[in-house]
Amino acid sequence: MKFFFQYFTSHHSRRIRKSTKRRRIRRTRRRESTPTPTPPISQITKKPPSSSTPCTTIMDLPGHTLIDILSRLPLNSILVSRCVCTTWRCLISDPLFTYFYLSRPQQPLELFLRSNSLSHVTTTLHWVDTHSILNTPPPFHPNHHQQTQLNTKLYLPLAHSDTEGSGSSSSFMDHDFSIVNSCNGILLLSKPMLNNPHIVCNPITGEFITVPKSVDDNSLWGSVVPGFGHCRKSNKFKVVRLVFRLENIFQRMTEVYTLGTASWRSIGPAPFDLDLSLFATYLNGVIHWLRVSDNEKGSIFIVGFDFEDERFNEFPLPPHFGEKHKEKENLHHLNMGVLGDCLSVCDCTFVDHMDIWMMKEYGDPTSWTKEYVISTHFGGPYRPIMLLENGDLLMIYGKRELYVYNPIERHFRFLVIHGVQSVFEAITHVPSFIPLKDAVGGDHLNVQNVKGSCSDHGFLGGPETLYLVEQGEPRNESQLPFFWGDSGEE
Amino acid sequence: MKFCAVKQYFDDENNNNITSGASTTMIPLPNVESHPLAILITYCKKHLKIKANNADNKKETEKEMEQYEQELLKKVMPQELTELILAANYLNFKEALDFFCRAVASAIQNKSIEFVRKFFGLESDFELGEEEKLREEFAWSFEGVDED
Repeated sequence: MKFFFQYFTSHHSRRIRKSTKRRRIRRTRRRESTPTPTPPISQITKKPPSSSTPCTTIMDLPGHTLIDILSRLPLNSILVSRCVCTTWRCLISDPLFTYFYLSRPQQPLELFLRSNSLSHVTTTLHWVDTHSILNTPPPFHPNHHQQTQLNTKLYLPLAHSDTEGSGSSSSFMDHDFSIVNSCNGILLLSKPMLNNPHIVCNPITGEFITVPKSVDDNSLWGSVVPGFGHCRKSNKFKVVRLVFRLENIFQRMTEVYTLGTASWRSIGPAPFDLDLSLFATYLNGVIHWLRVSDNEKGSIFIVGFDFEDERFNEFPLPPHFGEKHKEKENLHHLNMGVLGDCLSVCDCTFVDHMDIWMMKEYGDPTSWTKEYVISTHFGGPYRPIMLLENGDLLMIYGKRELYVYNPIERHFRFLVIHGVQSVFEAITHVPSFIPLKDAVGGDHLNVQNVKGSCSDHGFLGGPETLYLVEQGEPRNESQLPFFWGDSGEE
Repeated sequence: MKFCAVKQYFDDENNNNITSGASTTMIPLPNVESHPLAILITYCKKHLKIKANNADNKKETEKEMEQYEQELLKKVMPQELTELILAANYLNFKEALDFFCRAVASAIQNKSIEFVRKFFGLESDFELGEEEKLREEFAWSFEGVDED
């Protein structure tokens, strides 16, 4: 078979910025032309002018192909691409980009670290390239160490101080927001301690929306338990909060605010109280908390609020959890999160090991499976964060160290977080590149820019750099160190 | 047939009952240059050959294919990648398109904004104020994270 092809290249200058226009026409051989396959979305790339460009440039690619390429990049490179030119920035905000990004084989869940000190304001989220950690072997010799600087940073908005004229205060309580939970690329933030007011923020696009106060906010008493989630059917984001009102300070009321609407709605009394909002975990359209029941033993349950039905439900902890461990005094040895799309609970009540349970079938308490049993020296404050793409488990220990656990070879890698502060929180978040207004919908939206909120106060809390330091070769479970912890140097 | 656009041409011909007769058929490909086409044909032949050799062993196929792809990338200039992608897109050759897209993504991974602009011959078309803001906000993305 012979193929004839035309030596013909055509250029369409879509926009002329300078007076140069290039067109090359060569001898053509006339044939019946086959119809050019049209891409599903319109070609939106424009050709930049330059006298030294080769005959085809990347801007000649159809939009969806360029989106395909950019969606394969790691997060830091996508953020770089957004700054290359305005066309690329538009492409990255396109819903097709998000579709490609979420469909790629690497998991979209990303890890961020944030300093959590009481004495400093911190608005910086530092991205951890977990993919690169997996691809970089640990230092071979125990005495060697390797250091990775966390370059890629995102910023959270700065809170307004409640007391007027205290702009010079640097107390975290006045200016920092706590992160409540993350859902579909958006974070819910709230002022610490009282957990009110709330902010909904997309750190990737640098936008945020302040959730309006309710008319009768003055009758709120005590702390608020907030949660944030998304209803798939109605495609709406909602904030739920459990509050006490002065009219009845013994009965929690449930209130819901749908983003894009004008005001909060009261759902009715909450079926229980939550003394502390522990481990707010969002999964499958439901926000979950660990809760201590009112009975004598004070057994621990998982409660959930379904954003679609706007109703509460309860799940028991795993049946063989250890009866004693389900009781109130052990609450601080437990933690809850999501691992590999399953609700998971970590039991650190034992002195020599920890158990990690996963609810394999969501909603079915009989599907609780003890997935990992990891020997440790002390039942220390281990908190599983996420499952990495190769099956390793990433955990944080004592708010200062990241542990990467290989369940097959049963050994750990340690990465110590170094920064000016010594206490950190780890946040898992699926990035969203869609502008907040489009993601949320609705009318009553006042979208503000994160950078704007910082400049209003005249300070940003200073630049902060974090490093991950890994020392020595991986260690077996029996070689875990004793006395790591919060007493780090400052 | 891997070149789906060409396959479609043959399908259309059959539907119109045009007898092609002899084994030589002229198929016009107005949007493909000779050089990328040659590379794509070689890629396709190699792909089919490796697949035939390792019919049962998928892993072996993938491994050999990867080796071939690495060698191919060494010979191809970065700027030619764009032409190859356009050709593979026009011919609707999915495997090659996927491969070359991956190659371009690897080329710009972990690089700074300046590197990416230089690599593709792009210029910033942000407004002056915006460019300043970007530099301030994303200072880390202007320093080469990886050495060029």
